Amino acid sequence: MKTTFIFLVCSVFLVNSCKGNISFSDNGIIESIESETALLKRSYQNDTLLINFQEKVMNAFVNAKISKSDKGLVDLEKALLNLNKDNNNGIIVYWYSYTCYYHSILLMTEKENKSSEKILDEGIIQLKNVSNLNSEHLALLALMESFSIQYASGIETPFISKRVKENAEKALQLDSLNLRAYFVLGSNDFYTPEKYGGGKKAASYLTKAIRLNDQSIANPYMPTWGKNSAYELLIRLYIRQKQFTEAKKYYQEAISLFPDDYMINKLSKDLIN
Amino acid sequence: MNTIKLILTIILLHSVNLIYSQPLVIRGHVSDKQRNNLFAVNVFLLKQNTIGSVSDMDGNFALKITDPKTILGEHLVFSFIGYETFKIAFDSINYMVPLNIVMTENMQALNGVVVEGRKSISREFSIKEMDKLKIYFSPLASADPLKAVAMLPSSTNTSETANPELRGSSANRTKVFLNGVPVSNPVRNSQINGIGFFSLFNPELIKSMFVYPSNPPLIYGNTSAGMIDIETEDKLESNNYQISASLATAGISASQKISEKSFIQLYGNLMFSKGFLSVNPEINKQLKSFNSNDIGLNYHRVITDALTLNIYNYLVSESSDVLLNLFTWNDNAKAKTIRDFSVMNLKYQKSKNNISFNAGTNFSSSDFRFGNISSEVNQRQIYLSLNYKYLFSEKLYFQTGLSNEYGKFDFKDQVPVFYYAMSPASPSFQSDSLLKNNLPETYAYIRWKPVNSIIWGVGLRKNIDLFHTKNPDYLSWQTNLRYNFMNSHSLLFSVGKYSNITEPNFSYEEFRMLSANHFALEYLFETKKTNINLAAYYKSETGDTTGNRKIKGFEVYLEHTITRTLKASISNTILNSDIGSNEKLYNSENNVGYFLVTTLSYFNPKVINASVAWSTRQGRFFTPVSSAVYNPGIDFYQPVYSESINSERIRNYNTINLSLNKTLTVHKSSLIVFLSIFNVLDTKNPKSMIYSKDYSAGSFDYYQKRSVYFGCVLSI
Repeated sequence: MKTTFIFLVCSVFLVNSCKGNISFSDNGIIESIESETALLKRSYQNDTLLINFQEKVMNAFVNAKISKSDKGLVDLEKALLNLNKDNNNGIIVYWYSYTCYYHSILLMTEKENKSSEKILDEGIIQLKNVSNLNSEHLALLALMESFSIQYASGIETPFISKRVKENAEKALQLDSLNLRAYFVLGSNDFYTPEKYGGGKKAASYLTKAIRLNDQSIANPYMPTWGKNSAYELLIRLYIRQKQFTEAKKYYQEAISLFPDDYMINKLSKDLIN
Repeated sequence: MNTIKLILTIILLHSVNLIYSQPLVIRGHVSDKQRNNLFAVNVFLLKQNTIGSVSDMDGNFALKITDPKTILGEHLVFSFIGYETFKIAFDSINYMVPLNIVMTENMQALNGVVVEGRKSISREFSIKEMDKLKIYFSPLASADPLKAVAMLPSSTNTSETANPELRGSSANRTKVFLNGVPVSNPVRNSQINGIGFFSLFNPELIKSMFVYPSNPPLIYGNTSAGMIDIETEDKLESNNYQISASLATAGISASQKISEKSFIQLYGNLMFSKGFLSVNPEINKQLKSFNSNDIGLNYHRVITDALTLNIYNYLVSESSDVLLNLFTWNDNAKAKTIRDFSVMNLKYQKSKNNISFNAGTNFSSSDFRFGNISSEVNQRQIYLSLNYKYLFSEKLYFQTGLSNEYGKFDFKDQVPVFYYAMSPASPSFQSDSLLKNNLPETYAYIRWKPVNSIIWGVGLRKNIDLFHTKNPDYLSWQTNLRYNFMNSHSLLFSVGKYSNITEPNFSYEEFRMLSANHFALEYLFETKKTNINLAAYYKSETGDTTGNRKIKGFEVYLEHTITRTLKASISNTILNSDIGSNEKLYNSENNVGYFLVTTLSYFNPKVINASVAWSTRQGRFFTPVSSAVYNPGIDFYQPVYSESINSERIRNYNTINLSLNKTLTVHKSSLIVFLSIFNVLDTKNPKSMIYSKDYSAGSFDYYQKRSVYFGCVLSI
């Protein structure tokens, strides 16, 4: 009996120890490890959708290209809208707009320009409605507005370009280490014709973008995009300016960091030529 | 007993083991100062920042530390975009209770509020915001900021000049402010009918222009109608040089960075009539010549991170010679003016406090001669204002300040004895007067955004008896409410009482107080392709020598981008304006049943940019001369006006204007070539009546006939 009791006590501690958790409640009573595990599980269940969401969008985008169906992206948009009904959170809206952006790119590649424009506008409107836009919101807004230029009338083009710049600059005022804001500024300057003052600052912005970290502290809910695109644009800029030594230098850096990036790989042809 | 000891020993050993070798979970909650849960906050160890967690949507977090030894000498860090990073030493953590972390917005986020706070506190109640680009792209505005305003539906200008007349009120009630300083008479060569169509402002200097067609914000004073608030550039993107030449002007403009913290903008124009009048001999046979030379300079410097200085100076010399008809006398009217206008702004901004000191001077000497009239006026005006703005939060701003407007007008006039007899031989008398006035005022303005969709503004402005002036006592007040809904819609309701003191002029040599009550309800709808504005307003104006005015107006404006290259707009204003006394009201001269403006713009830089506008409205009312009485002593007839004031209407006004431009690339420079044709159909639009000597026969003076204007601008 005694042996059984000792065995039971030891077993409980042993099992609990193996689970590797201990917690303290408000009353200072040691709670069961089970309840702690439950807390962790609850946290992640609520927010599972948002973890590494950027990757989910990319996967849905690639699947959509292969399957010729945008269902995956539509499902993500719906899931985010549902989640936001209960929470109304700026991060959810961020990912909703980001999904809209990729959805818009997909539709554009399918030559469905009207639908592409519509979903892009929807993403932009939702993003603009976030109260207290933070640096990441503003960088994404600038990116999406920049993409919208292709659907704008000639009269509107310079106004949108100006807004892109203003939003990206504001993003940097709020977070001077935001590589995505630098990337958008570089991209905007890259695509602005020389006679309208473009092409002068792209190299400087893009170089800053590639030297910054994706995130200061790894956070699965926050974005990491931008660096590979900044590399790609910087290499294209140097190719355009016929500065091939610089172009090759950045290509080598880029390919070692992003060996599977389709757009960067594609540049090798231009460099060889 | 032994068994119990054994159990206790096992428990004790296990506890020790737990403390030193078993994982710990630190739990807690993160919120902001407003008690909002913060999602996605990074929670990590300072030195070993790979050990971390993230808060969930309810702001809860649980950080698992597998090896508790790692916390020795460590700090727990909380960081989130837009918030101050928060650190807490593990030694000071009580593991027995969940942590409750309150994060504060960081200075960078605060800077966002501060950047917003730098902008005008009342800008959300303006109906139109235009920047440099919008001015350049405004159809038929010829890159003139005030001409761009004249294309807005709220412009009820019937004089073809750039002088702003908004929502039925006269130009002397409307004010233009440059960097917070009022600009008296913002139009060049304004003495000449139909020629004062260039404003003083170079679009290259302009960062933004806010238009308030009624209910002017009380952070500025001395206006009882609309207001235009112009702000100059505070950042120069790149150096820019322009050379321009046209039928009537030659100009240069240079914007140059001096250092990272300062830049200078310089421009100058020569305006001459010879080329314009020789290409357009029929435009206006009464116009003999006009000339002006001007030079403007804007200097901006960031002295410290908190302190900026901007100095603007503008010097203009202008002259004109025009055949003028006043009553029955037809003669050359010659005018000359030399004027210096300057504005200085010192702005200090630290954290949520914003202090600005604005100073402006306007010195001018003018000379006007016509028949037996001569008028020399020396005008001195000095404006000073000190303003303090505090940003309680991004939702609540407060601004207060003091201002004084000093004016000194020295008139040396030769005035006709009989107002209808103006030949050089007709009797006149010398009438000299020196008028001075100070107008010290104080104000307070609150802008509150209780929720994201509602913005509320309240302002008070009061004159103060600082210099024992004879100005009547007055209190101006206003409130504005803006409701933004369904992403693209806005409703704006404004009501207020406003006052201003007019500047003396040749006709009325006195400082006179004007006041007005305004009610306006506006609806704005804006999407990427479509803009709709509706406005209904009521104004009652008192103080004018012509009587009190009651104005009811309704505006509708629709703008739509039809294709990628084609944009159209249509606007109409119904202006029911009456003038008179409480006993009897008459039609006001600008009472029009419709004021229709339609534009069509084609924009294709590879081919051409073209805009065409058709403006039509009912003609102005006037009081006919019913008979005349001969005065043998001076050989002039005195007109006797009909008792029915403003009982007749001039024929409807109708004009079509066309503007074309093309941008060419020359090396790395751009050359813009432009052509404008005003009144394409050469319509004879009557402006006012001209009478024969005995008033028995009448004809019309006309607005500008067809004119062609072309030129080019080279940007380097």
